[in-house]
Amino acid sequence: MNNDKQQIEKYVLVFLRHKKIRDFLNISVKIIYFLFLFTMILIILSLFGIVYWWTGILLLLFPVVIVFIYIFFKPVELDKYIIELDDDILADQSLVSFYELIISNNFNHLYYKILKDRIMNMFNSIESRSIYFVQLTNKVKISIVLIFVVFIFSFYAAVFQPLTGAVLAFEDIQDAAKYLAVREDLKETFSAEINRMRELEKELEEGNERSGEIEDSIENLKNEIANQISALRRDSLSSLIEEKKITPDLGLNLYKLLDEGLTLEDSRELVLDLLSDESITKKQRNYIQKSYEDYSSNSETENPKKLGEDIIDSLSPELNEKVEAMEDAVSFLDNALEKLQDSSESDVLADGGTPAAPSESSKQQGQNGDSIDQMDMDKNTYLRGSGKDKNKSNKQDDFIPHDNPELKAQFPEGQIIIEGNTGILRLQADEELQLERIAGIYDSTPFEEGVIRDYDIPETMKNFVKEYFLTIGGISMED
Amino acid sequence: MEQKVMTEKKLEQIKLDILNVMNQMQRVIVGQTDVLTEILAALFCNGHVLLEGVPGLGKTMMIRSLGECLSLSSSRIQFTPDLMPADIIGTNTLVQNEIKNKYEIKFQKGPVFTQILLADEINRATPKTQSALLESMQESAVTVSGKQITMNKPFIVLATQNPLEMEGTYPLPEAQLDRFFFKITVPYPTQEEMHLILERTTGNNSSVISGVMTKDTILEYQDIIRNVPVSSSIEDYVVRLIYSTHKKENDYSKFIRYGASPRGAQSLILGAKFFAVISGRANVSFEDVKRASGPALRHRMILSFEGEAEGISTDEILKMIIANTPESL
Repeated sequence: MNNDKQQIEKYVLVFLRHKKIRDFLNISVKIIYFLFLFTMILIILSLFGIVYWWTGILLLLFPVVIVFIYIFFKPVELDKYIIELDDDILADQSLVSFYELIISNNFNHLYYKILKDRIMNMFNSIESRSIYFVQLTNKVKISIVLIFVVFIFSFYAAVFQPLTGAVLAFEDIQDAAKYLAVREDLKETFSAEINRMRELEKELEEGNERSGEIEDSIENLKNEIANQISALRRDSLSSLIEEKKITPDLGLNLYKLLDEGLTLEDSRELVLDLLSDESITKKQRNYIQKSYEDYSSNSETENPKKLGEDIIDSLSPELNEKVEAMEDAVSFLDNALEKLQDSSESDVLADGGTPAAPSESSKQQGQNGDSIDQMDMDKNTYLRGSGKDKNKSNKQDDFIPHDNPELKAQFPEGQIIIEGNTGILRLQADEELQLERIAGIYDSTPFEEGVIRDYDIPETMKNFVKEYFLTIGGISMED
Repeated sequence: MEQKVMTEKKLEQIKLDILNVMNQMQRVIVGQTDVLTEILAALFCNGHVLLEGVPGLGKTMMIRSLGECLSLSSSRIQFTPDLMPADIIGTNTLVQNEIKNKYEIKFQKGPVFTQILLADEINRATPKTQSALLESMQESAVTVSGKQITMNKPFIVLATQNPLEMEGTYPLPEAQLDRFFFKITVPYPTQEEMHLILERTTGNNSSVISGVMTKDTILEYQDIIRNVPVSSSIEDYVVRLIYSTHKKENDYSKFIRYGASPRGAQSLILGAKFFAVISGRANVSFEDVKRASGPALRHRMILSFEGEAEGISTDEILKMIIANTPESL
């Protein structure tokens, strides 16, 4: 009679095996649905920079692995399974009743034989596969399609996503730190910021911090450096006054220019004062003049502070180098910020997946330290960003006077002459000259007919003006 | 000793024999298949039946025909308020012994000494008389003058009561109701059944019932049915059903004053065994339990005031209990 028990258990185990296969497939289908939904959420979150792809993969794998381990290692109690099997094969409790007669050794029971015959016939006639049949239902078909979709999304996340966000930003932050660390004086000043950048690099590498938090940190770093730049300029201005390189009045005006900016008129006065100063070199003079022209031609959009900053930078070459290095660092931080925010594939492809340095020329200039002629180009570069945008802005903002009709319109019509040895520039105006239209940098207020400047202009200045008008062309000059 | 073994053939034979009894009864009784099945269930489970139905539904005819087709002795007692216990059990009478030529006291057996007893309108008798019958039902014996007289087996009491006329009646107390194995509600016949009843009873043709089962066969089948195995899952289900009638947290609990007794669980299991056999099963299934739950439990649940005010029946409550009790946990 013990054989009956073994025989029954043998049959039951066959059914159990098929049941496990079916349960496994059923759970797999559910897991696939779960994976799909999770991947979709993950993609959306990573697009917004809330989570990183690999954090999501970890979150995803953990429950899946737990579920599979549970399925495979869950112990099966045969007694309980027999109750379940009885229900599955529609035995109306005959299997349970018979099994209980066996385990209670009630082999002489009146109904033992009839139950045994019925159960054995049932087991012989029922195909275990037909009880736990796995159908290729629409659900299964959809889940197969979803597997591919999930695979594609995973592939996207694994291959493309790193290039768009953290890795590129990581390189830029690294470069920003290098720029600050390469100069001993800056290294000391920005030791806290450099350390924070190193921490950010680490966090980006490990993905410990959320994108939003990293962006905030970068923003703070930028502000810190910008504050330091302002402080440096003010210190430099004080030094210039102390060293009597500029007059206190001029210094005061420059202060004003830095603080709240001056009107176009005041700015012009200030620039003229500077240009009349003999201690200023020709290159500095050129730079100041171009800065003013930039500002005056775009006075509505340009920030007067920038003019002040440009002027101070031009007056102090040492400050200029420092500021360039710091602004390069800011520019790299800008790039990092931009890349963190830019997670779309198209943007990545457009950028070619390569972090753009702020300016190669700027680096060279930083090494040479005396190329003030290139300063305008570099200023435009680091103040307007990097990469292709930077190149575009260079082309737009380069100083090409003869191509600028607005600027031409500001100069007086007629002939400009310089009076003898006095060096006074005079305009031989036409009778129908519209005086109000003259708003060039060398006209004066109050305007006197035929006189551009009614006080002495140094020889160098005269040459400069001469060169200037020759450059812009279209106006004849007479000595 | 020969080992008893149930075979497919034997099981089929039992099923056919029981169906044959029903067929014989249905020669006289039109329709009422469920009522007849439940009466036979009580008979083969050695229990007693309380039939409830309006007058004229053929309750008496049903019982008489049962006695005829089972070849069992039957008697009928019309319960009235002046009916005395002695009228049921019997009484000691002074009888002249002509041989010895002297008088002696002899116990004159009452109508209860039969095999099928119809106790018509049991609720019309006084509680004293009712309890005299109920003792014989429970003990299958009658005690007279300190002497116990056992009844013949099988012994089945089929009591009837009219649910409409309550005036001048003595409703059976709960403890006595519990002694009835099943309470069967006799429904009103359908229109088609009514046509057949008229055809059969208003003409000259009268159906003859032949005895198809002997006393010994009944006792044998009672033993076989009692042996039907019940799985632990079924037992657990029955226990949960009985406990559900006592629970206080369900929606229907407010309608129940007192739930079913353990005797109710016994009736449920035994009834389910009968239904398993007539379904050709060698074991009890959940369906058999559900089938037996109505007649086995409906008279064992006492409605609360709220339940009576709502006009809800115990059958409706039972349906709710079955719907809310899962077969397996």
